[in-house]
Amino acid sequence: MKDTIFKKVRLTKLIAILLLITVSVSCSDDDNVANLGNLQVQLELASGLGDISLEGVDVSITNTVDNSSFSLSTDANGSATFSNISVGTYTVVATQSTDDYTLSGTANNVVITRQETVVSTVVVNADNSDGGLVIKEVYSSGSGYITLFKDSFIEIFNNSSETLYADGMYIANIFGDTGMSGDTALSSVLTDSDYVYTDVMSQIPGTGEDYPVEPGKSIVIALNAVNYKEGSTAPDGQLDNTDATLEHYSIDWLEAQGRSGNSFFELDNPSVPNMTNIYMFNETNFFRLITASASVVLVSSDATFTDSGIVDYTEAGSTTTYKLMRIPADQVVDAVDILDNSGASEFKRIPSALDAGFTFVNADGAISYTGLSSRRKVDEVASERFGRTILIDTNNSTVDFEAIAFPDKYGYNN
Amino acid sequence: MKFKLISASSVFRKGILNCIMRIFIFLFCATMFGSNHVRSQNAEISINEDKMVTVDEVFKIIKAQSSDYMFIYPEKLFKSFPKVQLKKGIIKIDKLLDLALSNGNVNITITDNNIILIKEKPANDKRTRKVYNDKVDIKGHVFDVNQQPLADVNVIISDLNIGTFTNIDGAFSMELPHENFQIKLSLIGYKAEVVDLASISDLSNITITLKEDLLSLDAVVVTAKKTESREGTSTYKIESQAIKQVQAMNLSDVLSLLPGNKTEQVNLTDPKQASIRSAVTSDANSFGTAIIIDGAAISTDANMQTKNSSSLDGGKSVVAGGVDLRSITLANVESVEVIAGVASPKYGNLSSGGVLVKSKVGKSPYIVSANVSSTNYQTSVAKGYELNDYGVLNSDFSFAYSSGSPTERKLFYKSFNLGLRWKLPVFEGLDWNHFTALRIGHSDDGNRHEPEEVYKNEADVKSTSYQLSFSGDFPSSILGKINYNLSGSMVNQHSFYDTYVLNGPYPIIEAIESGTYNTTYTPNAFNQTRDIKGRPVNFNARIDASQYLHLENFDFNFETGIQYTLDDNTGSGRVATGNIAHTQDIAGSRSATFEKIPASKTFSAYHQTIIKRYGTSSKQQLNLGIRYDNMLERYNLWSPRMSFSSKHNDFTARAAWGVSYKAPAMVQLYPGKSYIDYINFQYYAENPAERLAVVTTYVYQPTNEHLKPNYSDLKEVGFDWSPDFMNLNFTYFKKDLRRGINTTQELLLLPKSVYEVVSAEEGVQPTVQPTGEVYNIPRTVSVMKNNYYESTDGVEITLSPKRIKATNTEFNFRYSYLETVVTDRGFSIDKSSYVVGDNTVRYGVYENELTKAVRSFGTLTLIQHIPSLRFVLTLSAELNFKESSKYIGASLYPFAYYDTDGNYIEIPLENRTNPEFADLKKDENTYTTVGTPFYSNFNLQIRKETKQGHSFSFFANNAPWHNPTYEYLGSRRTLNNKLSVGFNVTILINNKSNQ
Repeated sequence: MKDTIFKKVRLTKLIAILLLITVSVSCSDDDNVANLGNLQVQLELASGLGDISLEGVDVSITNTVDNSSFSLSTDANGSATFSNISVGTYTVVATQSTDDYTLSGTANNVVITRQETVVSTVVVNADNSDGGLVIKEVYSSGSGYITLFKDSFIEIFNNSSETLYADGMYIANIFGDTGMSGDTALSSVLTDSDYVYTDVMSQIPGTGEDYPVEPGKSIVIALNAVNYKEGSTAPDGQLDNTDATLEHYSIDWLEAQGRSGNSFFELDNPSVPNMTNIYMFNETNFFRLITASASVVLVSSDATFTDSGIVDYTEAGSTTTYKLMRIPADQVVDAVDILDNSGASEFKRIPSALDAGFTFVNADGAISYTGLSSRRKVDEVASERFGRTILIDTNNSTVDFEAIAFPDKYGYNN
Repeated sequence: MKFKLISASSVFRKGILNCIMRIFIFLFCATMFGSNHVRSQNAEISINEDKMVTVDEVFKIIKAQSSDYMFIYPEKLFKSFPKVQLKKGIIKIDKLLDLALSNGNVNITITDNNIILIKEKPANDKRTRKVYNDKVDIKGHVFDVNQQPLADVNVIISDLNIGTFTNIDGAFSMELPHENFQIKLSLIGYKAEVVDLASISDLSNITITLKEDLLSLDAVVVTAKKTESREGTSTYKIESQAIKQVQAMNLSDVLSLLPGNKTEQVNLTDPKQASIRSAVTSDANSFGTAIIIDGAAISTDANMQTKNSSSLDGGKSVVAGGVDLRSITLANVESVEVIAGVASPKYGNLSSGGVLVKSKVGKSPYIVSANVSSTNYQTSVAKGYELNDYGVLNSDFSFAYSSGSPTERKLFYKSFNLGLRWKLPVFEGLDWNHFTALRIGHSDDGNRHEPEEVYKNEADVKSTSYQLSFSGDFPSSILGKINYNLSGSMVNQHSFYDTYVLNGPYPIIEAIESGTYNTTYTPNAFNQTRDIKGRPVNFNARIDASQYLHLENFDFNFETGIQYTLDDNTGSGRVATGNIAHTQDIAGSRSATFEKIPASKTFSAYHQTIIKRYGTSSKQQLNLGIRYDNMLERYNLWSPRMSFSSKHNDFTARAAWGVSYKAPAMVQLYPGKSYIDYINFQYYAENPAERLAVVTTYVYQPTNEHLKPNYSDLKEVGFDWSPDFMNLNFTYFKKDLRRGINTTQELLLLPKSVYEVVSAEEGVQPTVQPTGEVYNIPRTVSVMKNNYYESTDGVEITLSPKRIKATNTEFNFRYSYLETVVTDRGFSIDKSSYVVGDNTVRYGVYENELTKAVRSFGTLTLIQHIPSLRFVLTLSAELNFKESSKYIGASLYPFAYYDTDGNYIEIPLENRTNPEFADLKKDENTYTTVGTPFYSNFNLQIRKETKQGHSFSFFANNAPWHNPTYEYLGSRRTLNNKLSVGFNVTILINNKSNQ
C-alpha cells in the first residue's frame, strides 16, 4: 500500500513538472485566449499517517497578487478543482479540524497558466488534537518502607508531532485535602475557581531550547536523581532515578532565603540539573510527601509569580493558616487531579475547566509505599493514526488516567 | 452568768477557787436537795410518744418521773444544743442523758446523791491550767471488737505534732501539757478513731475500741476531705476508703478527688503529673509540686533524660516537669494528704504545694488486689508482719502493665514496686520510734517494636529507683521532741531510643567541635540508637525539734529544723551511636557526659511557731513560719509562711500567706552543648566513591548559671462553716508563680560558605574549595530563661450536707474556679510566613501574648451506702461550667524585625499594619479564644464487700456514654472521653475474721 502511494506521488510529480513546462512554453504562444486556467488540488497524506479521510477538507487558494481567494471542499479522492481562475501565483492551504486531529497542508507559489489545468499536490499533515506537553505520570506513593516517597517523579510527555521545549514551564503541587475521612474540601475554603492553589512549585530551568521534548517522548523530573536499587534487598521493586532529566534540590535556595534547608529527602546529584525553586510554603521538599495522591499542574512559561499571588488557607476549626500561591487557570497547560479514593469527587482540587474528573491510585483509598502510580493512557486510535504513541488528553483524568502497579518511567519512549 | 440554782462568779481564775466552788456547790446542793434514798442511775423513764424536745425539757421529763435527780448547770448552757429526738418507750436515765447531752461540749458529774452537775467543758477546764505544770500523763489500751489488744496503733496528737504506737499489749502512754487535745488512733485495716481527751474521765486508763474498716460500718468516707492540718493550709485528705473507691492504681488517680480535678481516662502509657491550682497544665507548675513519701521528698531535680540538649523533650520521660505519678503506687498507703495552700515551712524546694503520702504501719493479712480496665492491669499484694521484739514490718509489692489502647500493643508501660517499711523499737522503755524504709521501683515505658511493623521506632525508658530512708522521733528533755529523716535515693535511668531511620541518605555529621567538615552519606536507611544513662542521686537530711508551751489561754508550739539536700547525677550521659545525621531545626543530638556537672546543694533552716488561743466559744490559731534556703550555693532565700484562723462556734475564718522557691532543675542549669549543623555543599554522585558533602557544625554552649530559683507567692482567705446540717469550706486564693523557667527562641546568624568543584576525577571524591561567597544563615536556638509567669486567682468550695441517716445517703459537692494568666516575659521571633523565588525572609520580633485561661469545674457526688449489704455506690456528675483560654494584648504584628544580615530594624507603630510587612503578620486565627460550653460527664463506681472483707468494685467512667459536641471555628468538636470500665478484686488472705 505504502509503496503504491509513493509510486503515485512520484508519477504525479512527474506529470506536474511536464505540465508546468508545457504551460510555460505555451504561454508565450497564445495571447488571444482568456487569461484563465484551472487548478486541481490533490491532497496527499504526509508519510507515516494513516486512517485519515481526505474527503471534505477545506481547500482555499489565494492569489498572491490581488489576494483574491476561493474555497472548495475535497471530494472522496481528496481532490478539489478550481476552474477558470485567473492566471498567476497562488498559495494553496488545505485544512480540516475534527475532534481528533487537525489536517493542514500548504503549497506555495503554485502558478496557474492560461487554459491549462494545473494539478497541485498538497501534502497534508495531521496534527493530533491532544497535542502539546501533557503530564504522563505522577508517581508519589513510594515503593516501599525503605525508599518511602524518595523516588517520586513527574513525567512530561510530548503529545504533539514536533519537538517542544519545556524551558521555563512550572510544575506545581496542588494543595488541599484528598478526601480521606475528616478531610476538608479545598473548594470550601478557596472558592475562586479561576485559580489553582499550590504550596510547592518549581520551574524547569533553561533559556528556550535547553529541555527539548521530542514528539512521543518524555522528560522526567524526579525528587532525587538517586539510584534506589543501590543497597536494596529487593532492587527489582525499586527505581533508579539517575536517568531523570531534572531533579529537585532546595537546601541552598532555602538557606539563601534565610530559611533552614533540610537534608530530609534532599540530595544533589551533580550530573543531573536541578529545578529552579519558586515557592515552598513549608520548608520541606518538592513533593507534598504526606500524601500518595498528588494533584499536579504544568504551567505555561509565560506565568510569573510574586507576593501578590499569596492567599491564606485556613480550614474550619483550625487555627493553622497555610500561605498558598495561586496560579491563574488560564496559564495551566495541563492538570491532573489525583484524589484519595473513588468517592472523593467533592474534594476536587483542580477546577473542572482544567480537569473535568479526577483519578486515584486505589479505589478504597491511597496507600503509601505501594508503588502504585497514576499514568496517562495511550490513545490507541490516534497512535495508530499517527504512527507514534499518542496519549489520551480529554482534560478529564477520570478517562485519561489509570492506576498502575509500578511506575512506568519513560515507558512510552520506546 | 447565772446558775440556775446558785449564783457564782463567772470566771474562775484559779484552780483553788474552782475547787472551793465545787465543794461549795456540792455541799449546798446536798444540803438543800439531798435525798434519803439513793437510787441507781439506771432508773427508767417512760416516753409516751415520739417527740422532739430541748435539753431543758428532757430534764423536766426526768424530774417529773423521778424526783430523785437534781440538775445543776448554767442557765444558758443548752441554748445552742440541738433538740433531742425521743422515741416512744422506756429508756434508762443514763441513756437518756447521753442522748440529750452527747452533742454538746459538757462535762457531766453525777454525785452519789444523784445530783448531776453539768458544766461547759473546754473553756472552764482551760482556765484551770497553769504555766509549766500540770502535765498530764495519759495511758490507755486499744482493743478490737473482740477485746483483743491491738499493737502498732498509731496514736497521734496532731496539735502537738507528737505521736506514739501501742505495744504488743495494745497499751500506750504519753505525757501532755494538758488534757484539751484530741488523739487520733489509726491502724492499718481499721477505721481511725478520734477521741477527745477532755471527755474522758480517767486519762490513766483510756480504753478505745477500733473497728475494722469495712463497708458494714455506718459511715465511710469516699471523697477527699478538707482538713485542718499542721502541714499546711487548704489541705485535702484522701483516706483508704476513698482510695479504694476510685480504684486508684497510682497517685494520679486519687488526685482526681480534689476540687477542680476530673477523673482521667485511665491510661498509663503517658506520664502523669500533679497540677495543683492552675487553669493551665504547665511543667513549671507541676515541677513545683513536692511529692513526699513518709517525710522524704521524691526528687527529680537531677533528672537529665532529655533527648536533645536544646530542649526539655524527654521522649517518654518527664524532665523538669515534676514527679511522674505513675511510679507512686498505693498498695501500702494509708492516706494521701494534698497541700494546696501554704505549706508548712518544713517543706521547701516547692512552688505549688505538696502531696504527702503516708504509708501504713501494722500487722495485716495478705491483701491481694487486682485492677483491670480496658488497657491496664495491676496487681498488688501487701502484708504487715508482727515481729514481736523486732517491731513490725510492712511490705508491699505491685505490678502494673498498660498498653496504649485495647487494640494495639505498640505503646506499653510496666512497672513493679516493692516497699518495705520496718518499725523498730530502738530502746526498750524509751519512746523512740524508728522506721527504716526501703522502696525499690522499676518502670519500663516505651514503644515496642512489633514484628509486623516495618518502620522501627522503638523507645524504652527504664528507670529503677532505690530509696532508703531512716526516720523517726524521740523525746529529748532539753529540745522537746526530735524528729529526724535521713533519706537517700538513687535512680538508674536508661532511656533507649532505637529508630530505623528511613529518610536517608543523609550526610553523616558526627563532629563535636565547631568547624567545617567533609563527609559522606549514610545509606538509604540505617539504624540509629540513643542511649541516655542517668543516675540521679539524692540525699536528704532533716532534723527538727518541737517544743510546746502552755500559757493561760494559749498553747505555743515551736518547731525548728535544719535540712540539707544534695542532688547529683552520676550517670554516664548521652551516648548516640549510628550515623548521627543532620536534623532539621532541632539542634542535633550528640554524646554528652553528666559526670562533670556540679551537684545541686541546698541548705535550709526553718522555724514555725504555732500559737493557739482558746476562748469560751472561740478558738484562734496563728502559725508564723520562716524558712531559709541556701540554694545552689549562691541564692539566699527567705520564705515567710504564715496563717491565721479564728473559730467561733461553727464558723472558722482563715487567711494565709506564704512564699516558696523551687530550684532550677539540673538539666536547665547544665543542658550541655547544642549542635547546629548545616550543609554547605552536596555532591551525591552515582558512584558512591565520588560522593561528598561539606557540612558545618556550630557548637552552641549555653551557660545557664544565671537561672534563678522560681518564686511562688500564695495568699488565701477562706471560711469553714459547719452547722449541724452541713459542712461548707470556701477558699479564695491568689497564687503567683514568677520566674519560672521557660525556653525561648533566640536568633543566631551563622556564616555559610559556598563551595564549588575544582576537579572531579572518576572514582574519587571531587576536590572542592570555597568560592569566597559567604552568606549568613539564620538559626534559632532555645535558651532557658526565668521568663515564665503564671498568676492564678481561684476559688475552691467543698460542700457536704449531712448524711441522710434514714437512707445512708450522702452528697458531696466540690468546685473550683481557676483563672490563670500566663505569659513569657521575653519576646518571640518568627520568620516571614512566606517568601517567593529568590527573595529573602525576615525575622519578626513579637511581643508575647498573655493567655488567660479559665476553668470552672465542679463535681457533685452521690454516695449511697448500704451497710447491711456492705455496699457503696458513688455517682459523680462532673459539671464543666467553663473551660476557656483567651489572649490578652496580643498583636498580630511585629514591633521590629531582623533582616538576614542580623540588623535589628524597629517598625514604627503606625507602619506595623502596612502591606510591606504582610509576610510578618501572624495568622488571623493565632489568637482565637477557645472555650467549651457547659457540659457534664457521669462516672459510676460501685463496691461490694463480703463479710470476710474481700471486695469487688467496678467503675464506669462516662457511664451514659455521653459525648456532647460544640462548634469551634466552624467545625464540631467532641467532649468527654468514651465510655471506659474497669473492676477491682481485693482478697484478704489469712484474715482473722475469716478464720
